[in-house]
Amino acid sequence: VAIPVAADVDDDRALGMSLVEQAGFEGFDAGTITDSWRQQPGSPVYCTDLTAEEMPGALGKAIGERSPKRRDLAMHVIAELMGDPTSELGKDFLVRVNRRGRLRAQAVRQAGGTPVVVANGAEGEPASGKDRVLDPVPVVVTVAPEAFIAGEESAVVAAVSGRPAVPADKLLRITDSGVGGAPTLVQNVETLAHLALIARHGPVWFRAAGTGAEPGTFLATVGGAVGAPGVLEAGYGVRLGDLIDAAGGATTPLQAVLLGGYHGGWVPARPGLPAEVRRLAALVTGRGACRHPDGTARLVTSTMRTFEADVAAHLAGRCLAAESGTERVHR
Amino acid sequence: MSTVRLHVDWTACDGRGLCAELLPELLTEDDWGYPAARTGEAEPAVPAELRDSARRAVARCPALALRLVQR
Repeated sequence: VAIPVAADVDDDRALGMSLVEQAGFEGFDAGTITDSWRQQPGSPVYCTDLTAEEMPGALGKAIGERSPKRRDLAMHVIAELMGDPTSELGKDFLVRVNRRGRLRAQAVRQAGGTPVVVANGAEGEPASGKDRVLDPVPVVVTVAPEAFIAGEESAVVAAVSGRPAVPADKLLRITDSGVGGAPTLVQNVETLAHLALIARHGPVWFRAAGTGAEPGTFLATVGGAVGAPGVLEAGYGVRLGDLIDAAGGATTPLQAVLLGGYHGGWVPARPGLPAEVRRLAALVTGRGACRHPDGTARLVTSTMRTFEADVAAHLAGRCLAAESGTERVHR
Repeated sequence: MSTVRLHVDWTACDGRGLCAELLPELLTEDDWGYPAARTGEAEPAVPAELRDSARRAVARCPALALRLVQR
């Protein structure tokens, strides 16, 4: 691990470097005091475990006009995390802050910046000047067709690789061989949105919603026989009745509700039922739930119609998981 | 130390059921008629004594969805 040392007098710098080396690190000659802004908080070398070989490149990446802003943000984030007794503060805490991009995500957001560069296929040169963002890694946005199966991980890999966005046989795991044969991680947008907020507000904030076993919130698309169908955010464990009320209430007496979309199952429409995967699993796998409605069951039939139309439109016999889901609902 | 395993291409499998009939020692059918390993594994290991039966099941799959892989 190299530590940059700056001084105007060579002897002073040599003394500083020797102290660093006695402490077990490697001293790096970072030039004069005038240049030392490149190693201040928020800069690419600050609180990292870079080697002496990596040091010149990282110092060269510091951007003068952004430094004061990044320094202030860095100090703010560090103070916030240090002041939070639930933060995991190990000996490599500051390194983690810089490395894991917590700082970057936060700095981008606070600077009112857009957290992605849309390079749209272009490689190499990140955007310059005012449009430049703090993360030097170029981001390419690929738009996939709006189809249910296009979100399946091998379909995502195919879309990014320029092939039709349909699932493929996973002879090799995507995490071993995905885009261009490289190990690939496919993330859910909702997960990333959660991560950004956890980075910003911390784990205690996240756990304030939901239940002990299933902390946090989820996005629920509520449709069918409700007054105001739409997407709602709710904590896990929310009562089914509260969720339906939030979507404008039931427009007809409900007997059963389909949970979990394509892969889900029917549960009896009991308002007190908690939307918690762990507890609902038993009910759903029973599969008796969807046979339960023997009267009007309008939610069931209307959802069923939408559901089948959707599946027929998107599926075209290409996704087994969704097919079994449909068949399972039929039973 | 690799093992011969039975891999199902789920994008090709149509749940015709031949494999479960030809390899009852390894496979059963799930609620929808699709093959499921008795062990619950995604890719069940094929023991040496079942290798020939497994090869026949691979060759006879009408959807060509089966193959033996070394893992």
